[in-house]
Amino acid sequence: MKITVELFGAAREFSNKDFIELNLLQPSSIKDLKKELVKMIDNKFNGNQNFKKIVMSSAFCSENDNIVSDNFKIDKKQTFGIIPPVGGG
Amino acid sequence: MLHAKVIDSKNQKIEIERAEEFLKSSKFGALIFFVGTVRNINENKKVTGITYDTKDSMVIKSFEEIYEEADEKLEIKDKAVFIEHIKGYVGLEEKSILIGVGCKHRDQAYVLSRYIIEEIKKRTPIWKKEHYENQESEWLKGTSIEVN
Repeated sequence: MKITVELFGAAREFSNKDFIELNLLQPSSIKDLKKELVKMIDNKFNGNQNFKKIVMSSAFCSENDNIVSDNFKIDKKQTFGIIPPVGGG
Repeated sequence: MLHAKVIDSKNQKIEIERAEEFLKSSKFGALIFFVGTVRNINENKKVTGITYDTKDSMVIKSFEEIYEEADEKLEIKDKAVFIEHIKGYVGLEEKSILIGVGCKHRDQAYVLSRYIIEEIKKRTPIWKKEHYENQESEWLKGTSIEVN
């Protein structure tokens, strides 16, 4: 199933677009989504360690703006936002 | 009473007058305005500006939650809060955030203002990309959002 990840903050460096699309097995979880992102970084960015750190230190939010845990079940095509460590003000 | 908004720097600036107008009330004996601006040096690097990235809908939701929590955690019921945060590029000395609070007394106003800015820094989805004199730029390290 196709999963869209909206990019924010430092994660914007992952693409020239505002989002990336990944294919996950059905069902999957946020943990699987993170693994897939790391795989994408291995392939596209030669395993860039800084990019991997961004993924591992990020939270993910659902379409209704709730932060979801690593165990959150993904069983249909949907969009998540990657929320790297924040620091406004 | 809460005013919460993300301001796109391409179209608008953050103005203290808007906050004063919003907070004006004979109920409040104390108004405090916290203004965050872009500083010229960070970690020994000469900064020329900052690009702020935001997830707008979550920023507003976060401002609302922080405002609501103040009732419970700080027991400040009678209050008005004005929060605006910039998104996009801002140059040196320009405003990035304005938090205005109106309370009955100054003690409450100081506590509330401080609480709001500290919570925003910890959990509101806003990110800074600093730009430097040597044309380089860098996303600043932040605080990971807690996942329950």
